[in-house]
Amino acid sequence: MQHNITNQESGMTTTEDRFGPKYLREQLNELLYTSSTGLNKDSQKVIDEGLIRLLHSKSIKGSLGRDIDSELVMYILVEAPKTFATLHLVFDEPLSRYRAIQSFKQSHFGDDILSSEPGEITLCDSLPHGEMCKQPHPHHFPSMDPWTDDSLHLFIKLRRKFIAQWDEPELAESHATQTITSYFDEGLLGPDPDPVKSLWEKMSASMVSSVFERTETKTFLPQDDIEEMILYNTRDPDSRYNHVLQLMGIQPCNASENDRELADYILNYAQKIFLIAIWTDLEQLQTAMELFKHAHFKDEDLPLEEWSEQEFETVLYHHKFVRMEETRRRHPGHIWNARSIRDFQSSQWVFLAPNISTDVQTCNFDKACPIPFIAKGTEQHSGAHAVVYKYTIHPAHFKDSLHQVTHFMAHNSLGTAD
Amino acid sequence: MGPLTDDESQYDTEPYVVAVKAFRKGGKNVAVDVKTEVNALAQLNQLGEEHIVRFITSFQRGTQEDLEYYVLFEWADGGNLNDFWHQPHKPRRTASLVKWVVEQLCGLTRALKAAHYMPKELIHRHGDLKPGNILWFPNSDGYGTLKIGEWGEAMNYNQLTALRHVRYGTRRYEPPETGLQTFLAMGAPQSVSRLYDVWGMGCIILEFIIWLLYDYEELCRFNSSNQGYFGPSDMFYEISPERAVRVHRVVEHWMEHMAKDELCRPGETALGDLLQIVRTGLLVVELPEYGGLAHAADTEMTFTTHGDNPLIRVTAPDSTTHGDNPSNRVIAPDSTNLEGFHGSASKQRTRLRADELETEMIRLAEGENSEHYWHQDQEPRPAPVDDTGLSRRPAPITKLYPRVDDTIDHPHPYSDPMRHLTRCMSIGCQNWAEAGEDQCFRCLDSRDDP
Repeated sequence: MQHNITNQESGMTTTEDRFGPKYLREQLNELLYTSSTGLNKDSQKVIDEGLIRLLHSKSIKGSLGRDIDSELVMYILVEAPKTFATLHLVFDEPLSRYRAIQSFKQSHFGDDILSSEPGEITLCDSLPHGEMCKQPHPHHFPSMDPWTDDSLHLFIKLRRKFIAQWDEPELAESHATQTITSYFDEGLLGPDPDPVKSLWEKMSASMVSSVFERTETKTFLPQDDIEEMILYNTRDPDSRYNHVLQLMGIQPCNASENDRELADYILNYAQKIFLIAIWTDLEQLQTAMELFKHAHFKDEDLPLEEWSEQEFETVLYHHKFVRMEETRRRHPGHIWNARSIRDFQSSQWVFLAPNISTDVQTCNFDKACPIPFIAKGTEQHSGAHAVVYKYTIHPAHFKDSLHQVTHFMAHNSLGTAD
Repeated sequence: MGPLTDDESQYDTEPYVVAVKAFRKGGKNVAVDVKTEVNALAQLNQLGEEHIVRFITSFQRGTQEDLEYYVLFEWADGGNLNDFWHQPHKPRRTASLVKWVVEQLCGLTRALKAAHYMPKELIHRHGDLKPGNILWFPNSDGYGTLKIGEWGEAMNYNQLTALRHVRYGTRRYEPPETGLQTFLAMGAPQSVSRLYDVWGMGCIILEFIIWLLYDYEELCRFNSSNQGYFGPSDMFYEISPERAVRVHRVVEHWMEHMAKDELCRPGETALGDLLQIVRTGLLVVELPEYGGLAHAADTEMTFTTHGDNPLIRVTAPDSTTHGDNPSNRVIAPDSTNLEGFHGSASKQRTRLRADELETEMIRLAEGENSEHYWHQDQEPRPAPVDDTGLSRRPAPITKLYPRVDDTIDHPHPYSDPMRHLTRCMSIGCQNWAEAGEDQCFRCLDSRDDP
């Protein structure tokens, strides 16, 4: 919905829709990126102040794409600002946000419940008013538009971006992950109708900006998100196999021995390759992964060497991906062509943010590699030969063996000893 | 490094916050310099010294033709020693504060000694010790920890000449050896000594004493007074045109004044003993024979001489014998009291080495347990006032350290106008300003004639 803003002083009308449907979502994302300082205690304060600044009747109406009564505005501002903010990370459509917030208001869902344990947040088969439900839980998430297994899953995860961290962040995270995954295990959420789309959305929501002075426009997917959220490493091995199989469109119950071997290869050697393929919407995911497996192309072979446009035009058939497809298929070119390779080589860096480790004296990083710095101090100090900046390293990308920091995920460091 | 706020909770450890040092591009030997620095930092890390800023890692990015270099350190949340001194609320001068200061200075000295005398005969000099390079790591349950940082800024630049020109910021804390370098013949070999660092420690400790005894404002006043015996000098030393070297007038004045304070009496209070170490062992121009070291090649500046006359002359820092008559403090070039800079006949005190300083500091820290030694329930006498008699001298000489052409010797000292003026000023002669140059000459002549 477009809002015409009248500039009364000049008498001119501008069609610029400042508080359009995208406004709040973009502003909230920016707020989260700028305040995402790892364990910094100040980040919660920044978020709270940011919400106070961003949420007002104009921005709320713009976000919902309609005029709403002041009662709903007051409910959002007083009872559910963080709930409302979280909805923006889950739903793109103004109508979906509107339906969700309306049902929240009716069932008296607010930020207090948002901050409670995930057990309180469950999907219910009843109607919004609970007439058909005999369960004792509240009815905030009716099994109807906009709530699906995916959106609820996202909502449970992403609410933590706005609410105060629990006393033990790691425990809270672990608890939340286990609770979420137990929904799947216990069949509470049923099978995911489009696991690839869900995973893509999860990756999208988990992207973090590198604020390093030379790579500020680059985003990366933190290692802990890759490990814990996307591949469900906290779950038992069978569940991980099943998830990978489902992502390739294979029902676990119908999986062949070859399918299981392929899933095994992906989990052991090619997690990042698999994610890059999904991230770039690669055609024929399963076949592509089989080609990688046959060619023994593994995560440790990343990054894929960057080819120039001229090379694509003149010697494409020499590219290792093209060749790997030619040797195995009668009609090559469906998976690997200039466009898909270009996508792969430009997208791969999102998954290749290096680890900063005290165990390595000097590392060499590619210019395209996002340095996992997630906050930058305002102060800097100039010397004759250097300038000193203050940065915060993403906790999952820092191994400080002297301080015994435990957040490090030890896989696939790109750093090479000098 | 960082701005301070009143919120002390910020001082809890945030291990993911780091200082990233980005090297400027375009330097001649950046790659070699960075590699040298990183190797040295890794070696310093292995010492496990609590009072050395910890090196985390380094990385380079880009192509071989266009590499960028970065070195990562732990982040000092409090900034540096200047920030500590300039806290919004100065900590009260309690026994625990004085003990903490001594403990920190002890730790810094131990760290310096460890760097100076590494295993396998490795040597790391800092080369640019100053309050700005002592970083402050506050914690929420005490005053925190002070650590020596910025090792890289000078460690690659062994040539004194280079050191003088590449320095960024203040040269206030450099030792007299650097100033004397001006007088060396071009091309003379020079090296940076470990004893450079000891002078820097002397400056830091003296400023700490001033801050403890008085406050930050008085420390600023001390640091902004530069009128020496021979004219203005921003360092803790000064050099006369005759190349006489001595501890700066202002520095001596403050040390003498403080030593007379009951709170600063040697043998009676910790501050007094600390000041005594500075006066007798750190802010000392004279260097020990061969730098006091087994490895002479490590430490010595090599001074060239011209004919039979030593180029560099040194005046005694023993200020206790000095009265208020400034003329006592100047030793004329022809004086028989003069020693060569490294004169073996010297009976003067020489500057301590880092290991000797550590011994002194440990003795101070562990020697006395009486409460009175650490805390005296009284205020100090007022801080020294500026010596108005000296400050009414003629306008400052801008050419204090002319590059001397050693091939020219004026037949008589007073045939060189610059020397006339400087000498006149240094003995406190008022005639020059009031009666003109002729009068001044008469004054000087009459004084010097037998």
